[in-house]
Amino acid sequence: MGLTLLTWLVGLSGINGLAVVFSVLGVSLLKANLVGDYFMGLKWVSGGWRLVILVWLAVLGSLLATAFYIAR
Amino acid sequence: MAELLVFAIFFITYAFTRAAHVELFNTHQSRLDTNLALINTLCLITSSYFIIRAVAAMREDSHQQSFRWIIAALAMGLIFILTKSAEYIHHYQQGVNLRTNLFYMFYFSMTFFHFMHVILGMVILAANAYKTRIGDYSAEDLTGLETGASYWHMVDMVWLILFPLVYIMR
Repeated sequence: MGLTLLTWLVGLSGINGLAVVFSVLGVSLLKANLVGDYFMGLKWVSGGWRLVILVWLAVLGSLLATAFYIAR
Repeated sequence: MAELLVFAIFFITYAFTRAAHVELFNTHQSRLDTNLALINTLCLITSSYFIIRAVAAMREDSHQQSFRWIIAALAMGLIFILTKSAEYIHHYQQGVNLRTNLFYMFYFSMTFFHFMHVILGMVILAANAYKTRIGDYSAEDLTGLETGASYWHMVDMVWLILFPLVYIMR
């Protein structure tokens, strides 16, 4: 909730730039990972389910960061 | 998994298309209502938490409690639907649609695709609520409820990326 409010405040303030974009993206990926780990309970599940989410977030995050870097 | 891949392709295509039209995307992105998006984000996170409580209650064989938590989660989902619908109606009244420009083409496609997932998730949760009510689940057999909960968390997870990507990052 706190991280969401922080993201919203960034949007409200209108501040932008690559550092802000990367920070917001990092926070979003962290929140999504927390949903996987604690809400879905993948942290306590055996097998590769946790890895699937981690790889999805890592690939997605890397490509989004690349696209925003190119657009700077 | 299939849903996550489709959403990832949507997000990546959006970001790389934006790279070629930064000014257009930034201009129209700044016109979106971040307050409504915040309400929607809080709704989905809260709803996900309520479903965790529903599963936890069922693990203790507390059917009544579990049913109440699912209904609470559904209520938060309904607020999301109403808020997002209000946003779409506002765009419609302004004459903004899929064909307005590239940014809105992505905006409507991605958010409406997610919107449909929220509706499907609510149908699944409603089925979970019904089965909880009639005693179809128990502490030993709650796979159906856990599966519905996982789908709902996936819908939440996707929105946590969609919200900053479309409303905040520029």
